[in-house]
Amino acid sequence: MPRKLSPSLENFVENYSGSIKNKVINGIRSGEKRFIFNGPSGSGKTFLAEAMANSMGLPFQRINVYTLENVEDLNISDIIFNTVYNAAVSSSLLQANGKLILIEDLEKVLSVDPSILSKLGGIENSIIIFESSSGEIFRSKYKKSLQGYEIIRFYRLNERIMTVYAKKILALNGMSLNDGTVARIVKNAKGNINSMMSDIYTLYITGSIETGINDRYSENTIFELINRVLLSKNPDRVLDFSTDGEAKNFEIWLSEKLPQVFHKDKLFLSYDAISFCDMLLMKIRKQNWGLLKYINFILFDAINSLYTGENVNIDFSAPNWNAYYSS
Amino acid sequence: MVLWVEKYRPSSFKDIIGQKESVDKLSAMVSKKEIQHMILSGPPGVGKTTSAVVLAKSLFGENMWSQNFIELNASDDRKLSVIQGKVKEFARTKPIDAPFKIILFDEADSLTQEAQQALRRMMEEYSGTCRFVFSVNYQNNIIEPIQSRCAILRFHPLTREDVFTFIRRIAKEEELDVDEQSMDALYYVSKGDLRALTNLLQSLSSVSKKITADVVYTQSGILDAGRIKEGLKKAVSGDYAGARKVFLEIMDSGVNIKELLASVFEIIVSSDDIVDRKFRSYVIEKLAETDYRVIEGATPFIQFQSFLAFLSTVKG
Repeated sequence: MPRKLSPSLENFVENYSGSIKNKVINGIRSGEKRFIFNGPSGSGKTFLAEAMANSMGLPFQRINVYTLENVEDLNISDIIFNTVYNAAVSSSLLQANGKLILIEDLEKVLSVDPSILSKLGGIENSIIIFESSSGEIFRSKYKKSLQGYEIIRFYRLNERIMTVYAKKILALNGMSLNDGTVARIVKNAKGNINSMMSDIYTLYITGSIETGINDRYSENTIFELINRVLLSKNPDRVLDFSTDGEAKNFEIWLSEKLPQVFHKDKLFLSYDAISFCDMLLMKIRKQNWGLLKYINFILFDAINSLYTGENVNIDFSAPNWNAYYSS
Repeated sequence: MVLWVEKYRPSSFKDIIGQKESVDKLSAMVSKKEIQHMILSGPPGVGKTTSAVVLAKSLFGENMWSQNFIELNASDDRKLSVIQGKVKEFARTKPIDAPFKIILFDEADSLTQEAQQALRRMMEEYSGTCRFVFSVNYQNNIIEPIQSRCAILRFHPLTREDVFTFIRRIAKEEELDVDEQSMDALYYVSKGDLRALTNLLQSLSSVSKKITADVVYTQSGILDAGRIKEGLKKAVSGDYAGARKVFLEIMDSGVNIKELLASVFEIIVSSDDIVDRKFRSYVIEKLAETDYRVIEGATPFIQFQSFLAFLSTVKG
């Protein structure tokens, strides 16, 4: 397994240097002991919690509410509370300074019983951090329950920071890759450090660039596929979307190309097809995967008609996604 | 009697048809004796489970692999406590003569969100002894925290050529007489799912060594493609009443509307002589709308007739 950076405050990375880290450090200095780390998966929430514990010399403990053992005569709310309480309050002399406890999935805790959070407020010793990955906690009905907790927001890392981080990891493991490959890994990970680490792991094992990189989000490679289909003039349906994200990107790509080829009623009909696909995609997000095949066909047919349509120069390169999505 | 599915299941990486990219990665893992958590994603019957088993066999050796490899599939209980128990029991002990053990979650699409959240924790907890492999049809069914901790291996739908290669392999071994036309039929019926295809071939071969396209269609257990074609042709030619009669008969025989819609889709898409190319997209759009409404809870009986009525106005 490739070596990772050890969790220390120096190794923590964020988009704007120090903005998240200092908030937590200052909070703890001024005596705060309850935090909520809110942000997408792979943005460094766990890393920062562990780094804080290390820098303060506190034992670090993670609690996952899904893996708690069932205890008879107790409801789930009590089981969660007891687990956290027992972890936080320890009679051992060695732990006189308390612990730093990280509890995963705040949303689950809130859905079980929001009052757990305020009940934990009384425990003096330990620092308790809840981890949350959605906007659910900002709903007004939870406002009261979250009182006394400082919410720290984490963001997906930008490509510049990711690149620096990737190079650090590669150097640490004595791997050397050219800039183009590093850029591919970074793009592929979409700001998620864990994804990037997994991809570096794959490269570490396979040792070759060609087969090493996972196409984690095939949205990125779908254009290569389209090009291959079009250039080989192969009418066989080799194109197959495996995620709604792929279809979505393809849709946007098509909607950019259509006006270059069609006009008036033809243009309307083709946009009609795409807007219909767009609506179906919404359903697919609710797990109706059976519908994807229709989208697959309609969009593919659309691209075929682009191909067999009037003789127009079509730019088959991918559009600039950032213009559509500033994610 | 030996099941052909087992008999013709590839036992080495070179026997796996298609899927070069994924197989390359897996064999690199074997030669380096190091594997990571993985998601194998792709349609059914293209070699996901097989690849995982081959990986285990070549990593652990023919004799030891079953000690270090466990497969949990959808037929096992998917309750959180059961999964937890099984994983714990398996992962607790050290691997025998190997760097890791492998846990394969077959058909992981059906794992609940809660189970996945728990697994995410277990993946970290047991990362010293265990590697988790998830086999899924759609990658999106796995929660992001797990996705990001896994290498993603994509398994692509098999092409017509790939399927033909496989059929020829079996035909040669079993001395079957399969012509091009019936191979096409087998490809259509199995939709590239080699497991379904192998099972079908075995049951057909017990009747006759000569496989014809007709037999494939009638024995495959899927809907009678001929009948549906007839109905669709009637509808397209403007004969709504005739088409309605045909499809009512099909529906009365107890056919699931979802299967019917799936077959109609396949037939319209795969043959040029029913709906003119020009209108195809348009027709499929209506078909999707029908399917969508049925999923939403509308009455299948009404929705399908509305589709037929639409079809009889197309005049292709």
